[in-house]
Amino acid sequence: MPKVAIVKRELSKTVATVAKVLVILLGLLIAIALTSIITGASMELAGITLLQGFLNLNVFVYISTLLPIAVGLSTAFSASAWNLGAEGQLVIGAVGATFIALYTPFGRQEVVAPLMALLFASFLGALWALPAALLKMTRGINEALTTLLMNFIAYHMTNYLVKGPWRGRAVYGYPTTDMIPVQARIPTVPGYSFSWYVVVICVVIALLMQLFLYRTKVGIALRALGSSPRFVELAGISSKRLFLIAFLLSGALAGFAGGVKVLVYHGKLVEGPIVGSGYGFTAIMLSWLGGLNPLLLIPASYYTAALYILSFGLQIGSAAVGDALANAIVGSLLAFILLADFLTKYRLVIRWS
Amino acid sequence: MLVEVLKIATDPLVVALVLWVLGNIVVERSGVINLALDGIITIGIAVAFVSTQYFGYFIGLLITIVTSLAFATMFMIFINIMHTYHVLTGLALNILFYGLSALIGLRLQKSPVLATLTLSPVLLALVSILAVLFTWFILYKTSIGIAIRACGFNPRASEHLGIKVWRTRFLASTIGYTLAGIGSYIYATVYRGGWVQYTGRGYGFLAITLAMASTWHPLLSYPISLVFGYLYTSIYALQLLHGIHPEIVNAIPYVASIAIVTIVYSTPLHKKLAAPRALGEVYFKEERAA
Amino acid sequence: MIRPFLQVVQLYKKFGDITALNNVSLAIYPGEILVVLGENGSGKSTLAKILYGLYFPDKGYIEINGTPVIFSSPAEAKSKGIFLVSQRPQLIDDMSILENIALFLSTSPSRGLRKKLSEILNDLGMAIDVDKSVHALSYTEKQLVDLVKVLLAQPKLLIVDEAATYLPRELKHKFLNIVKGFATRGGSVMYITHKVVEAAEIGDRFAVLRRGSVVGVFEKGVDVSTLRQAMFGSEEYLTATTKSPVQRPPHKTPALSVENLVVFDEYGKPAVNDVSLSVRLGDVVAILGITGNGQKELGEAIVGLRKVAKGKVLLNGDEITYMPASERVRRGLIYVPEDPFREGVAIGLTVAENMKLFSQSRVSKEILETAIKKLEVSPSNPLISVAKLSGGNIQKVSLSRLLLNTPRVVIAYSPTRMLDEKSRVLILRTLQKLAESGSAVLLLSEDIEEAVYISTRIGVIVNGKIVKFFEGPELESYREDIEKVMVHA
Repeated sequence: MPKVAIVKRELSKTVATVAKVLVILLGLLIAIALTSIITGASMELAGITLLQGFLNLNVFVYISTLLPIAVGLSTAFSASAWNLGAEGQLVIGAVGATFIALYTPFGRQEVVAPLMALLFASFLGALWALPAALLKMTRGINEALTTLLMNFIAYHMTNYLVKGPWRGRAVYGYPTTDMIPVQARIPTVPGYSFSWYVVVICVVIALLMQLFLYRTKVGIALRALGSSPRFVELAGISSKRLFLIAFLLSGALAGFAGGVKVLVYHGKLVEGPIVGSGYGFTAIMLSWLGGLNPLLLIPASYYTAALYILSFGLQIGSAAVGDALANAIVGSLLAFILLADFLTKYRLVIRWS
Repeated sequence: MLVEVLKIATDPLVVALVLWVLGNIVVERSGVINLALDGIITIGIAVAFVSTQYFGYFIGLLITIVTSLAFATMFMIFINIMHTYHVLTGLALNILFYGLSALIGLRLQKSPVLATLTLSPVLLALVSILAVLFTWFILYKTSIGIAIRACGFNPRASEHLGIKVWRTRFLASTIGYTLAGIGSYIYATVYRGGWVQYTGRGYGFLAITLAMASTWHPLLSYPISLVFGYLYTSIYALQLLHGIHPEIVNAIPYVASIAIVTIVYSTPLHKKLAAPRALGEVYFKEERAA
Repeated sequence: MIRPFLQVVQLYKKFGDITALNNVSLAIYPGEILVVLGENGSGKSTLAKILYGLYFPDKGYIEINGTPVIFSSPAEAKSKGIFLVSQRPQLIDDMSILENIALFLSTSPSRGLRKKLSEILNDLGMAIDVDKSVHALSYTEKQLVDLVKVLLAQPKLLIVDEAATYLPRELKHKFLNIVKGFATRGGSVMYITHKVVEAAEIGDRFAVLRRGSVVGVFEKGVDVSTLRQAMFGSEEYLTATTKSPVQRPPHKTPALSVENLVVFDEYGKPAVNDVSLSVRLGDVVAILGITGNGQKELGEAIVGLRKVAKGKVLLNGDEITYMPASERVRRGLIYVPEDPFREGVAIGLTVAENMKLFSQSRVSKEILETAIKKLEVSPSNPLISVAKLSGGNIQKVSLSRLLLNTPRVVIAYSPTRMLDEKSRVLILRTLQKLAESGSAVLLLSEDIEEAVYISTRIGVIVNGKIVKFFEGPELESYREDIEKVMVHA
């Protein structure tokens, strides 16, 4: 009988990167195979659609939501702050942006409106992350579970708003608000529902966060917090403050993404699960795909976006199948990332005794 | 009052919830944060719905349990063999499982409805109460249960004492997901009798919350599940009687769970109710340590 | 010719880039006590863990009565009659003694077991309710329960990994008698220790490990200095170096004072009980105690990692009792933790990044390189991840915090536990130099040698209370008295 044991290994960065790239390529194959099986399209067609997905400008629709969330979450996860509430923070951010656009005088002032809306969205996103952070810091309550629950509260609150007090006058009973004023919307690329302004801002945010995490003392300390809060304290840096910074940053960036969704994509507030559409969860894994490195998140989010487009791109089957397929593909890719993590961090010792 | 309690205790939704919570308690007692529960419940419900349409109620139950166990085993392989982060693994697999559940339901269903299985209220209540007692007995009175709890307290010391930690965790997930599978089955066939995309999504997280609120104790989890079951089953009554918007009622369990956990953790109570200390820790046998 | 019960054949084990065991072969015969001697980091615990199935060897195997085996879990080792009693009791704190034993014996906690267990505990003079939670026990009691469980299981090979080293004297005596009796009845014992004298007393044969290799096997009757020579090679070691005298008399004002401190452990049991002490600038005070007697909790409470229940902590006359640790560190109270992996360094970061965090001011490249050179960190490249370093070198990175700041007060908890003799002397000298240049140093340790080597005052802590202070220029002459106080609980 062979005996198998799992032991750690230290791979060089290059080998680990190569392994990850292989997984990513494997992910593409799986995506093509799954798509072809489920929709009945040929492998070639699925492959071509995928390729088109990479060349399709619509990737930027996804990037402008996923990238900022994932960048924020990378910061949080580096610090072992398990914020699983990005989905809710995004949704609440969307509520915030809608509020500014529809219910304040700023809503009709050009330039001011979108800026104010994005700022307020970020603020609300951070605020939504705050209770979980405080409960962890003062009571030691597992932040992963509380943030998770906050997602559902955000969903239901938003549903309440769009079905109740905020329901639009011109929406014929649909659960949405009225469209936000034109002045508050961020101009999109003609024919597409994304904005170059936002894409540029997202990339800049990623670059700034990279500098922050690797070049400043606070950033380095944040990454150290992941190893041990006690270590950080003993180095004379308040671990609680760092934890709070990590949490609020990730909340704010998720809120920002929510603002983007309203100002660029929906143009109004819709039901919670539709605003969120699970991006808050996908971004969690995306941040892992990018190795918690903001810079690498740029290509990683591009890649994930292309996969999304693939599953919707084939005009076979209903929208429901498309959504299910997207989940299945993204989910199995994420599982493969975890597998790659395992293979790069551990090795198997097999002995025949 | 008594009538109310009986009504809740025999409600199939509540019975399903109780089983999910219990299943989660067994798994989390072994030290694994069980976020994949939500996805596996969603799959379980889709499978119960579809397989009952094809093979009838009894075979449907078996298929539901076996499917739940298969996906639970996959989750456990990630956590115990590949040593992945519990929380990440749970979320990643959930996304996959949601997708799979929808594909199963959309592609295989014969019709979007199913004649609900009528079970006597007494039987339903009995199932949940027996499950509570069973879980408690297993966890606290058998050597398997002691081993499961030991892994949740301190996997390293458990290994030293001669427990095979990963094997124990697989065992815990088998027990837990059998219960959870029955729960999903009851939800699909007895309570819901229909399926739309992602039916059941979110209940897993609710069960995880309720398990936490009852400090992972099976006997305590029962009354707590009943209270939240009451909220769920009386959403429309609350709206009619008190004018509370259903969306607000929907949010209450989550708000209340956070509140309960906060209260439990603010009092010395939680020290007495020994929670699984190693919950969510990635346990690697050969870890370097001082 | 008797056949060995167990043979270790060319065992090889690597952790990352570090080789812990290099081609180790040994034989253990029935009825003998084989002592495995070596200093910290020599690989003796790794060997024990491989024999007990906790670690899986990269190469090599074990032969039991001539049959080759490799264990992949303690459960398998147990089934072959191999049992390990380790340095720290491995029990589930949240469960009762009875439940722990039942777990170990893979039975349910039955009435019969309860009776048997109570009897054995009584025989050892330990009348404890077996339904008591393990966390309510004292450290010594835990160790005893850890031993008793093995005795209940009919071992063929008993591996004792430093488990008796710090037992109270009478219990140790009792324990060693049990071990000897077990060997005379034909059992095999592997007795692992770093104490040469103790080893010479008990062993039938001696295997000496250094840096993962067996450097010598000796028969009974070998003299202590030969063993020592084998253990340390030509390196200098503490007992051979003379104590360096303190250069300057300490200041009068205390830099750190602790008044009537009470600290609870995780389970609400007092771990530090009404402790008062003060350390003046230029002073080196050591608090000695056997592990588990409260010195860890004392250190953590002083630096702010643990809540104080009662009493006060003063730094330069200011009360800091309820300040967060980071604030205390910024005020010049530097703490060197015992466990470098979890508390001493951030394992995912580079050496340079770690050092940057230690310093309160900007760290230039020169300062960084000087610190690395002074501490002899190897490899000396500051840009590699700390995870690639060996345990001893990781501890050195953690200790760089002493060179990158000018601390008012240094609290060091077993700072040399992971180090080889040479580095150990280096660190102790560093602490001494800090005191000479005006810092106050508090050393928390269980090692009398190093305490005597650098301190001006030694307090002995037993069960959370400081029972006695020793003072004066000739601390060395109190060595035996100190040891007596330490082990007589």
